[in-house]
Amino acid sequence: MGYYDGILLGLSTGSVCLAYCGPVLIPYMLGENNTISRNYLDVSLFLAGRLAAYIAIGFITGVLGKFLLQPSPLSSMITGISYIVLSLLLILYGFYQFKEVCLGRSKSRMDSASGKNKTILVPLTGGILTGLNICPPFVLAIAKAAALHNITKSTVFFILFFAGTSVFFIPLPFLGFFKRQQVLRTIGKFAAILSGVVYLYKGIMITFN
Amino acid sequence: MKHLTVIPAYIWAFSCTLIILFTFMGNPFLAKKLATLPFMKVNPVFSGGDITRSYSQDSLVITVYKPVFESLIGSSNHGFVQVKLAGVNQLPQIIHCTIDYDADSKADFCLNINTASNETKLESLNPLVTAINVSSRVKNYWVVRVNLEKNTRR
Amino acid sequence: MEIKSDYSTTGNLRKTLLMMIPMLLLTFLFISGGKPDFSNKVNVFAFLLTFLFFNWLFFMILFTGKTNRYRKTGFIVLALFFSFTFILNLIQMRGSMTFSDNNLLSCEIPFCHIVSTMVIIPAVVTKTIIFPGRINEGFASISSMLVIITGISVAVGRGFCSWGCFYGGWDDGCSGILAKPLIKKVNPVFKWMPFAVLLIVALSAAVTLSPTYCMWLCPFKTITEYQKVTNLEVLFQTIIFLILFAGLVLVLPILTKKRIQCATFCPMGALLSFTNKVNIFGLGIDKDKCNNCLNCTKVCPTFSITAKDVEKGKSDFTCTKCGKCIDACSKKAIHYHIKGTPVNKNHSLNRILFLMPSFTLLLIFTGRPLLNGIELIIKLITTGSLI
Repeated sequence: MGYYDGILLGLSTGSVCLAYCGPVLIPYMLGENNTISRNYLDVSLFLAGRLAAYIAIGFITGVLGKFLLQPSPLSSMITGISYIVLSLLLILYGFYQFKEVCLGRSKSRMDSASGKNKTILVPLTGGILTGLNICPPFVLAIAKAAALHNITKSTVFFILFFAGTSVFFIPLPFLGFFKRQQVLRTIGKFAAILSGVVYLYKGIMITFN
Repeated sequence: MKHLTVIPAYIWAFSCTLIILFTFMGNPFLAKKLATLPFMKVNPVFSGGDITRSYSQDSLVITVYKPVFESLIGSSNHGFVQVKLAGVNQLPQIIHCTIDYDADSKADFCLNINTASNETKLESLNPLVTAINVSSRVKNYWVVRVNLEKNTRR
Repeated sequence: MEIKSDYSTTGNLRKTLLMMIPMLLLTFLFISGGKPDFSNKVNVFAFLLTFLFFNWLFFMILFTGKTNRYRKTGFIVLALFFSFTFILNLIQMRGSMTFSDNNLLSCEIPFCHIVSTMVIIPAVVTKTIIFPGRINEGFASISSMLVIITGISVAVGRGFCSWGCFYGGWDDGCSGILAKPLIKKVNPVFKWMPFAVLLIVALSAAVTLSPTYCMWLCPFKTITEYQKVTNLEVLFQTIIFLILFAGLVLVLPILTKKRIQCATFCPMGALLSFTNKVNIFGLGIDKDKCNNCLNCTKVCPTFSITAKDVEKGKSDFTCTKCGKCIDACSKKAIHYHIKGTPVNKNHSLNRILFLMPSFTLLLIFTGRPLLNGIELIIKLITTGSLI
C-alpha cells in the first residue's frame, strides 16, 4: 500500500462531495437550454478546478512532509495518532448530519470570484472552491500525504484522491442524479464510517507497532 | 411499438432457464475456455511467483522463485522471495541451506529449519533481506517466504 | 399483447402435473449427476427422499400459488445441508474446519461467489486473480465459479440471493423463527450499506491485493472454513467474524424478521442489485388492484418495497424476488413481471417463466448437498460415525 490508497479514500467519500456540492453548483452552472457538449464542458471545467486545487494542496503537503516532518519513530507516532483522531472524525462525519459549508455553494462568492466573465470562470471557480472544502476525508488525506515524506508521491496521492472523488461527477448529465442524491449521500456516509474504521485500525497499528 | 418488445421479452425470459442449464451442464467446457484468458492466473502474492531456477545442494533440491514486489500500479518497495525445499528422498528433519535469490553469486540469506518442531531461523546476509514471512510444510516439501526490500539504488 | 391461454396452475391439478414434467426430469438429472447410484439401500433411499422433496416443493409452489413459503423451505435446507456437508468434507480432508499456511501456499482455498466483488478491479489492472485458489481444478475452482456467477446474474439477477445463495438461507431461516418481530422498526436506510461495503472491499482489495472481505468481514466463515489462529491479527479477524455472524445472521434476523445480513451488509447482494437493472425479471404492482395497504412494505425482508415503490408500480432494484410480498398481498396485485410486457397481464405465464430458472437454480445448489447429507445422517444413525 502507498500513495494510491488516495483513490480508496476519494472513492469512499466522493459521493458525499457530490451530494452536498452538486445540487447547488451543477444546476447553477448548467442552467437551461444547454447542449450536452456544453454540459460536459462545464463539468470538465469544474473538475479541472478541483484538480488544480488538489494538486496545489498535494504539493504543499508534500513540501511539509519532506522538509518539516522527517521520518522517525516520533513522526510515525504523530502520523498514527493523527490517523486515529481523524478517523474518529470521519466516523462521526458519517453518523451525523454535519451542516458543513460547501465552499462552492455561496452564489455570491462565486459571482465575486468570477467577476464579469461567468461563462468559463463560474464552473472553474466552483471547482477550485469545492476542491478546498475542509472536511474530515480531506484532512485525513492531508495527514496521509504528509506521511509519505515525498513531494511527488504526495501530489500523486492527491491526484488519485481527486480521481476517487470525481468518479461520481463524471456520469452526471445522464444518471437521473437528482432522484438518487439522497441515496448517494447515504452510501457516502456509510462508506465514510467504514473508511474511518479502516484508518482507525491503521492508525493504531502505526502508533503502537 | 409495445408489441415489438413483448415477443423478444418472452423469448429472453424463456432462455433464462436454458442459460441456467448451460451454465451448469456446460461448466467444464466454459470454465476451461475462461481459464485460457490472460487475466486468469493467480497473483504471485498467492502463487509465490515464477520459478527462476532449481538446483541441488547437499541432500536438498532447492527451487528459487522470482522475487515478488506486486502492487496494483507499478511495483511495491516491499516484497518477498519464495524458496521451496525438497529432500532428494524425503524431507530431512533439520534443514540448513544458504540461498542466493538473485543469482549474483553472493549468498543472501541462510535458513535453519527444524521441520519436526516447525522452527525456522533466518540469518540475513543481505540488507535487503529482512524477515521470515511464512515457513510451512506443504505436502512433501517445505516452503519459505522471506521478506525483501526493493533495491532502489541501481 | 395478451397471450390467450391461461397458464395458471393454482388449484388446477392437471396443469400442475403437466408443468411438473420438465422439473421431474431436471431433478432426476441434477440429483443423480447424470449417473444414478442405486448400488445400496442407503443410496436409493437418499435419492428418493431428495427427489420427492424437490418435486413436492415445486408441486406446492405451482398448486397453491404460494411462492415464498416453499422457496424458503428449500432455501433453508440448502443453507443447512451445504454447511453440514462442506464442514464434514473439510474435516475428512484436513482434520478440522481451519485452513493453515500450507493450504494458502498451495492455493487450495475454494472460491466463493462473494470473492468476485473483490477480484474485478485487480483483474483489470494487474491481469491476475487475487485469491489463493485453483484456476480450473478441484472443488469451486476460480474459473468454474466465475462462469456460474455470470450465468446466474444474467438469468435471475439478484434472484440468486433468494434462490441459490448457500448462505442466505441462514438469515432467511432465522428471520422466520418468531411469529412477530421484537424490533418492529428498522430504518430502511440501512439497505444502502451493502453498497458502501462493496465500495470499500472492492477498493481495499485492489489496493492491498488481498480479498479483504474474506479476511476481515465475512461472517460465513463460522459455518464453512476459517484461518487457523496463529497470531493476534488472525485472532482479531476471528472475533470479528464470530460477532458478525451472531449479530447479523442470527440475532438481528430473529428480532427483526428481516434478512439483516443480506439486506444491510453483503457486498455480493449490492453487486447483484446492479444486474437486476438489466435482468428480464422483476416485480410488478398492478395499481388497479392495489389498495395501498402497504402490507408488502412491512413483510419485505430486504427493504426493497417502500410506499414510493408501490406508487411507481414496481419493487426497487435491490429486490431478491423471494415472493414474500406476492404471497402477502391480499388483493393479488403483485406479480413476477417480465420487463417489456404489460404489468397487469399474463401473470401466470410470467410466474412460470420466472420459477423455471430460479427453482432449477435452487435444485442445482441444494440437490447434491441434500443427497449427501441424508446419506451421512443415515451413516451416523447406523454406524455412530459420520466419517
